[in-house]
This record gives sequence, structure tokens and C-alpha cells, in this order.
Amino acid sequence: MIPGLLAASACFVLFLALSIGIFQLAPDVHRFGTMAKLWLVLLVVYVPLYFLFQHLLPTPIAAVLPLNSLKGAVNFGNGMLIFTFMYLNFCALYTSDHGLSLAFMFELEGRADKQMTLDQLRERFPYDALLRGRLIDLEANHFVICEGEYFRLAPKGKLFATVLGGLKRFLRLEPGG
Amino acid sequence: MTGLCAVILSFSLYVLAHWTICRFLQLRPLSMVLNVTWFCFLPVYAAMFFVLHRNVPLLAVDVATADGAVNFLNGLVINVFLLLGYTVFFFLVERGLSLRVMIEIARSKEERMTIEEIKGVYTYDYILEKRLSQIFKMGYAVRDGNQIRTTYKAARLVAANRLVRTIFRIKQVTP
Repeated sequence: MIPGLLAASACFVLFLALSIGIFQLAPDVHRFGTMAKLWLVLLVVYVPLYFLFQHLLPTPIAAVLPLNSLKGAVNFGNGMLIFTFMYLNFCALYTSDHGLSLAFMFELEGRADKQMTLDQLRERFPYDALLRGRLIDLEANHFVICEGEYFRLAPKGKLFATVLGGLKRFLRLEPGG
Repeated sequence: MTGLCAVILSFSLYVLAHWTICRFLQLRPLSMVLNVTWFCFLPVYAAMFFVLHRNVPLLAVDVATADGAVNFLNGLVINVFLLLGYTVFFFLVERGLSLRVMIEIARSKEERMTIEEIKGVYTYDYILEKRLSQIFKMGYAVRDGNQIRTTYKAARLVAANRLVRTIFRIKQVTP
């Protein structure tokens, strides 16, 4: 199990280093697409790293178990799972940076006196622009379809609204948002 | 493998328990309910681990060895990852602005809406009230007369995020 965990950690360090390098050199690339491709490439890199750590570590820590045994396969897969969790949690944290509350705090902190009235906040973040921005983003990701002034859900949007809206209602979290 | 099986079982039970609390008890604040319930389920993970390793021959491990201890800790690490992922998912469902917009469109009469119509059912007052009350509650800002002022806690959070944005060259998305 230890070789898998070490290989997963090494893959994640590589993932961070490569992401930083790519985003510094080409900041306009599709961020999530790039991160997903990196994750896939590093899943392949994980394989030689796993065997490398298995051979480098002393036997009591990293007993060499063949991949065709159940325990060997699980140990191998566990590292891949850990790396995938690291990647997914990183993506989740990356998205949380786009939240409205954080944007408010950035704006307040950016001011010399670090304060604003509610009206100034409204003026700085106009609702129209905010909604339009979200709808454009939803359209670009095939969740909504724009028809003149109207916005209607694409099949992908309908699926998300039905499943997650159903869960929201079941958990009594409505109206939320 | 024992840790993996134990965490799958204990985390599934945790999600069921959390959903039951949400549906029938409606306790608040949501983040505290999420975390406290998770902490309550940590002993469940440990219990599952020991039950499995004692009763299922395939999952028997010696926790006194390095491999056994790593097996147990591995399950705990997965448990933390699952909690982080579940937290993000839960608050996406509860608080997501884009999701709320899509739900409103889906439930509208003609299943299509203009921006003005969305503004009518999902008001900016509601959005601001919800975000700001959370910011105040968490100690990131205080009300000073009619002014909203950030605290030292917010300054640290913003500084940390600014560093991440610089490292990854992230642009501000919100207008």
C-alpha cells in the first residue's frame, strides 16, 4: 500500500508543478480541460512510479505483491484512487475561488479604508452583469441555450436541474442559492 | 483494502445520517451539522475496520505492523477526501447561484426565462443578505454603521487566495 501512496503523492506534486508551469506560460488555456488532461497523463506516469517505489522501499514496508493477486491489485488501485481524490479536491478548491462572498471580500480588502456601504457593493457588482456572466458561462458549457432575450435549458442543464433540484427539495434546502 | 471497505461503509452511513438530519430535523448552521456528524462517524469507521478485519478472512490485517497501520490511516485519509468532496457538492446544491438559476428556468411555466424574469424570482437582496450574513457570522466582516468592514481574518483569507491566484495566474471571474 505504501508504494501506491508515495506514487500518488509524487503524481500530485508533479500535477501541481505542471499546472503552475502551464498556467504561467499560457494563462488563457481552458483550465479544467488542461487539468483533466494532466490528470490522465499522470495516471499513466503513476504506473512506473508505483513499481519504482516498490523496488526502492525495503520489503517489510513494501512487500512485492503481484498485480494478479487481489491484494496487489487493490494496493495498486488504491494509489490511483488517492491521486484522483487529490485531483478532484484540488479542482473543487480551485472553483471555490470563484465564489461571490470571496469576490466581496477581495473588493473590500482592496479599498484603502477596507469598507463599503451595501449600495456601493451593489454598484460594484451589478446584478445584471453577474447574472449575464453566469448565463454566458452556462451557455458556453452547454447547460442553457440562449434564444434572443430568453434562456432555456439544454438537455444537460435539464438533467442537472432535475437531479440536483430534486435532491435540494428532498433535503429541504429550498430556495437556497 | 480493509480501510477502503470500512470507509465506503462508514461514509455511506454518514451520508444517509446527514440526509436524514437535513430532511427531518433541519438543524442549522449547515456547515456545523456537516462537520459534527462527520466527527461522530469517525468511531464508526474505526469500528467497521475492526469488525471487518476480525470477521472477514480476506480483510484480516495486523494493525501492529506498518502495513496494517497504513491500511487504517489510508481509510482515514480517504474519509477526509470524501468529506471535502461531499462538502463542496452539498454547498453547490444548497448555495450554487448557477444551479438556482437553472432550477428557476426548469420550473418556470414556459421553461424559459429572460434575465428580468430571473431577477424577479431570485432577487439580489436575497443573494446579498445570504452571503453577507454568512460573512458576518464567520467573522470575516463587521457592520460599522452603514459600512461593511473586513476583519483581520478576511485579510488573511484574501492574502492566501491572492497568493494562489498569483501562483496559478487566475483571473477574477466575478465582475
